[in-house]
Amino acid sequence: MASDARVKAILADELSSRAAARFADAGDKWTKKEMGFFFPENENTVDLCVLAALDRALEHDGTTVPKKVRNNVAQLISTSTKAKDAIVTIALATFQPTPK
Amino acid sequence: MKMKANIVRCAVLLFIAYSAPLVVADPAAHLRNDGKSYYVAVKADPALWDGKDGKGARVVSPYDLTKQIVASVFQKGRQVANVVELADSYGSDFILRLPDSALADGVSALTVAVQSYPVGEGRMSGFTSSVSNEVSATVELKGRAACPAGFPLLVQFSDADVMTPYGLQRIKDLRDYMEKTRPAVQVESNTGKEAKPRDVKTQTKFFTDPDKDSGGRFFQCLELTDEPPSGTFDIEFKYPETAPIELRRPFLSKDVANAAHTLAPFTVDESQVGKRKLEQNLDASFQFGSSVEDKKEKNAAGVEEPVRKRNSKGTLDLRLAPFLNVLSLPDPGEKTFKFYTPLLIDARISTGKINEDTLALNRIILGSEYEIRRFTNPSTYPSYQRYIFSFRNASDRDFKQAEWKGGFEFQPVISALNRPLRFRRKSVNPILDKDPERAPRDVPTTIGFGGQVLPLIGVEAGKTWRNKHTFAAIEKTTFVRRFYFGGTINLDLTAYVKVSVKDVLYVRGEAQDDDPLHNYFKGTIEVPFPAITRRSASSAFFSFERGGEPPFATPDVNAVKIGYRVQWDGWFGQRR
Repeated sequence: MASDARVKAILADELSSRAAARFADAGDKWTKKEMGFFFPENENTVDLCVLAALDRALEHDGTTVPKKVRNNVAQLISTSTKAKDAIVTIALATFQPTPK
Repeated sequence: MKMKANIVRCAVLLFIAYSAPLVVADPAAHLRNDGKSYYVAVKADPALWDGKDGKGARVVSPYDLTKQIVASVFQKGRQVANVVELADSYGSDFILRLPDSALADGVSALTVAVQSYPVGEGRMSGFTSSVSNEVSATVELKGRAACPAGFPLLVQFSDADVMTPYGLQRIKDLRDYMEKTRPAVQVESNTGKEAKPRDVKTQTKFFTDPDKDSGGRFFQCLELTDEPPSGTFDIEFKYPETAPIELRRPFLSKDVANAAHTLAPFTVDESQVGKRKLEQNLDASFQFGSSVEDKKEKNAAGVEEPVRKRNSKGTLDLRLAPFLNVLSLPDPGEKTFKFYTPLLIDARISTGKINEDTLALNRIILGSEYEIRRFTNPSTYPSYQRYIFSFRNASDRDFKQAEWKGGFEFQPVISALNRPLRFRRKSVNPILDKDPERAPRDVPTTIGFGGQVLPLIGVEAGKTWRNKHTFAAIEKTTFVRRFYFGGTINLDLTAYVKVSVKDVLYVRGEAQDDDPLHNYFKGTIEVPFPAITRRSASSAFFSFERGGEPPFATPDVNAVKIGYRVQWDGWFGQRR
């Protein structure tokens, strides 16, 4: 159940280590950039980055999500997704189903 | 008389609204419900006097303090409440109870004006504040990772930094309500003429318990009993008029795309059958042509005479892979993707005799493919290695000759050699729009050099297991074995000139004596021209092609092509 703020910090950390030059170039408006700005024309590197952010958020919560949810996150976030939307998608993917 | 009073009230409201920002900091007014009715809970700033003197002794009771407060709630300039009551138990200073009619236009239309309230002994202040909800509800499609078949209705604090005890309790109350009540649904397809009702499934899933640890938010996955229409549509969820105020407005999601399949651009695919990309489950095209022509045929007397005959031909171009990839994404911490396509069919066949007039390659490939794509540097310019294993059966349309073969291909992509100019972009702040919140523009680099070197190396081996051709008996071997290596170099000499060179050398084990080495080369120079119109692009190209590719059944090609290419869309204002 990661908050948007925590996922934002995790994704910023991932992007600054994976796409350092692009992240520095985007400055404090990095959330308004599309993921393809950091990883041009490569869905695989976008997948690896957002899944790393999701896994770190889940590890922090001490929870996991089914593989299907991880796959859906990778499918929902592509090179044309803005970073701020990726943050919300990752944060909401950490929500756990509650018993009735 | 009543109108005069309203004018005076408005004047007071305007005066306070104008002067209040000069003296007060951040008062708050929230719409709340205590189970009986809705009220506006006001938190004053500067703080309301606690009724105690300098020594801490109470000199005014809370009830009398409340009587000193003059405040009203306005709805679009009309006063709807002015009776000040004691504070609630959630940390407000005082409340103003609302009549039901005041909520007809929603919370956004409400403003509270506190004309005067005590901030100390003998000192008064005032302010205005718009009324807000501490809790908000929205249909958030970004939550579809956990709720892929539904519509996530997200309930959360309006301001995640201010988690009030009332808000937490309210979120729990809303969850209880949502568990018992389902909204009405209307769906309007972008291609339909009217909105159609849909039902929400009785059993809906909730995600996360609304408590402080969850950030005080949860969502309900609203799944429909019938699938929404394909293509793009608007969908509206509406709770009854008696629902909690946060759920009372209709939740409208516009232009929701229901994964309607877009057609890939129709292009002439010149690639060899078996080497073409498989990116769709099914990619099939049919072609039928019919013409009438004069042919000479012998008549009963054995004399040739012209006969008018209709000639019809059809072709089928098929790429089929029922399961494109049956493997899932890398596990946490891993950087290796695995793709497995268990069955693929790649065919281009035509009707009629296979001769020089045939319209297709008339080859059919059946097989499966497994790829390991290992990222050693998943950065902006990534490095990765592709290991592709394949098993295929290749035959002609009539199954006269067929071979099976296993293959392995290695394609390394090296970061230092993977720098096309189009990857280079720079962030630039907009010049005309001074809004600091505006996203910076990505400007592509036009002057400079870029390039890509994509080497490849591979082997394939197999056996011709069927050969019904006339000369099959004199073929030296049925054991097909090939080793090949080469690659593609793409160079961007600025964004205006692109040079591409592809060269692959085949070492043929099956033809060691007469044709052991076979080369294939293709060089292209492309010069993009400035756009003719806003919706078109054009370029000139020059290409030189020499050599042949497996199965080396046709003579080598040696061709020079010079051409002009135009791409244009949006004709007659139509797009697809």
